[in-house]
Amino acid sequence: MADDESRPAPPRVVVTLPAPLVNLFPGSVRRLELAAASVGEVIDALEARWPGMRDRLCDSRPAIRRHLNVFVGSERASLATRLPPGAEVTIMTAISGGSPALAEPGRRRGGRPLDRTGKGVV
Amino acid sequence: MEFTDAQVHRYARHILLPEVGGEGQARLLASRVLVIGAGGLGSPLLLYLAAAGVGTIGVVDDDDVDLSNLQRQVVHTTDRIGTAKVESARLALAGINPEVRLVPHRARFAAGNAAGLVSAYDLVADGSDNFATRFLAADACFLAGKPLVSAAVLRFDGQLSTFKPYLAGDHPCYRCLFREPPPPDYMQSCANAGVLGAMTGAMGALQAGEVIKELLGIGESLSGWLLIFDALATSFRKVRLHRDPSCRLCGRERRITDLSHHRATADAG
Repeated sequence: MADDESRPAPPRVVVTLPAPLVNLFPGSVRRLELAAASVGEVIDALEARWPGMRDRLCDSRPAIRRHLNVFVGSERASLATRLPPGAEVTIMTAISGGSPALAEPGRRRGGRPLDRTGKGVV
Repeated sequence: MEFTDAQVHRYARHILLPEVGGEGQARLLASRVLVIGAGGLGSPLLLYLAAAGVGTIGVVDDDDVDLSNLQRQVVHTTDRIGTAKVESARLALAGINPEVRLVPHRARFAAGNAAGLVSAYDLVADGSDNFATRFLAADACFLAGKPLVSAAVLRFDGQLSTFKPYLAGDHPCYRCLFREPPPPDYMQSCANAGVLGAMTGAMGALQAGEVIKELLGIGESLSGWLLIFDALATSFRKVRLHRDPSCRLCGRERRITDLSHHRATADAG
């Protein structure tokens, strides 16, 4: 306990999440502030808020998943990267295109079907 | 070269720039650029490259113009719905600058034609809408030693970079940045996520600017950098990219030496 009390509070950092990830976790947000001393602690904090997010971000090595990149400021980071106060942590994924990302040849383009009110047909 | 009076008039605002001048404009007129995709990114890209006087512009796309394209694909028009996109683009570019030669490749950019297409041009600009094409373009450009200017957009987000991994030094490739495509449920989100039409215009215009810089050899290249645009926050960020020593394409132990693995992937699909 004494060790915990003497440990300095982790710095406040600003984290930006990729839109496709936010879409998978209702209630999550693109940009948030949290306390973390390393990228690994950012992942811990995200997992605490939105259970399951760690698996989306990290693989079993553990390391950042290979389709993702984490940048601290302007430099690429790993889970071990230490964070200074006010650090900008950007988690980003590859994006492929503006039109619906239909890689399959022959699939009709035009995106999600919508009804006349502009709402999705479910 | 000696310009005609009409050329001096047409390109005056370029020629006035010390970084371009007559020599640079002549270089643009002699340049050959391949644009992958005549869609949201390809539209402004094609229009600005043609207006700038890039002499030969190839465009590869197997799609036809659809009504749903016109929200962002500004090279096409309502009266050309149903027309091949490469033909629609040819008509638009001829209207803007008849001096420019547009070479339509009505095909999918695929393992079977990628090497031949890339080898016929000085530079490749990727505005495609799927990861298979993006990884193929990256591999084909590296193997041919051609610069690749790559842009992507989704919803309100944009990414732009230049890849010249065939150069010595810290010039990463697309695979150094993205080691593999996102999992299918991420892509499913993309497919339903939509995009702000003006985003494709902004990123395509930035991409055209980087293409022209590369052709002229001016300014600071985006090789080794990724530009990230967040339109909702009206925020641009540049982050540093480094070569990945373990990269399958350009690392110390290269495992990709031809495009055959793309053919196998397509066959499996």
